Amino acid sequence: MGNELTYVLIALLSAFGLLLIVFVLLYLKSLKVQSGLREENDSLKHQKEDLEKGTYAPANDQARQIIEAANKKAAEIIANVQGISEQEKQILNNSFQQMLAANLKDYRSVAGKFSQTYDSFIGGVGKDVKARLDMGLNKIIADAQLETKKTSSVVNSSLQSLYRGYETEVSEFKKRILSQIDSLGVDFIKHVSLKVLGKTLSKKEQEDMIIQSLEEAKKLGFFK
Amino acid sequence: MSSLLLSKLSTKDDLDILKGELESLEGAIYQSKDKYNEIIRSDIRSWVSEIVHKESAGKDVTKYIKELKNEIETVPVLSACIGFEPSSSFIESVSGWLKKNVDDKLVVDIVLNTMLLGGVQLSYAGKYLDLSLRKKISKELENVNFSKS
Repeated sequence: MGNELTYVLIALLSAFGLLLIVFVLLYLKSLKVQSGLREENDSLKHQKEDLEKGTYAPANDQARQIIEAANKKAAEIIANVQGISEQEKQILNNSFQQMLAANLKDYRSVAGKFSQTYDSFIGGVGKDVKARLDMGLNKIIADAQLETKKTSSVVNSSLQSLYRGYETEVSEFKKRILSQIDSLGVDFIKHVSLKVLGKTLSKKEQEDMIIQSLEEAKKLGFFK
Repeated sequence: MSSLLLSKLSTKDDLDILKGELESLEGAIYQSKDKYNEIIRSDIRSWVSEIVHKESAGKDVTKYIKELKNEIETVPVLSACIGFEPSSSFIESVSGWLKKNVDDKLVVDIVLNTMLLGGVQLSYAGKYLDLSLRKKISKELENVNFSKS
């Protein structure tokens, strides 16, 4: 009876030992899978960064070029406007900068949406990481390229319409200023002249001014 | 021929008056000598008749008057637009300056325009030059600040 009990105990211990070995092996295998997943996750993050840099760099460059050209064009238009002060010109310049900034913000918003989509995709990665990753990455790259094209096109066309609108606005403003000057008439000019000269010209001063004007005309070669 | 009469002219009005006088003399010559003498005594300014007598002495008067009329047509005219009523002495000053510095036969045609405020607008030999105070001030106005309406 005692020997039989001993055999049973040995058999139970052996079975328990086998189970323990199986558990250890399974645990080690699980660790290996987890390690692999971590590596794949890191790899995905790198790919995401590369993807963002790679696909958005040209669009960013294009947008930057467009914006620089817009700035240059605006500065030229504003610099050529006659009859407005430097302060007015500064206000116009600032307004244009704000419009450009708003446009650039839209562009970044599109880029932000792409990033969110990508993060959402990464979050849903499961056991069949590799297969889905290949399929998903291809789709993301295609989507990103499409989005980039669309964004560049939107930025381009909106800036072009911005030029047109802005040019018209500046032209109208210039006309308004010139019309204001025209409508000032003789009274205003007289007022300014009195302010400038500080007094009404005497007849002697009028006569001297005419002789001086004749001298000036001679220097200019008017009588030749 | 260069008549002393032309150097005595200061303004376009002087020129026009002289033209009228020469027309009268020319018309009288074709009527009679008496008529000519009558016109030159009564209708022509004394300084003009003196020069005409002096310059036509011993010459064909008809030819002299015709040449004088032709010469008058070549007299250059400077149009000067000014902002005040000029005195005779001032017109003489301007005319003297022009004869000395530009052409001794040049006459000035003065036009009044009070909107100029000062200075002068010149028109001569198809050219135009605005040296008025109005123009100068208008130029300065380009730098004046205006508020947007």
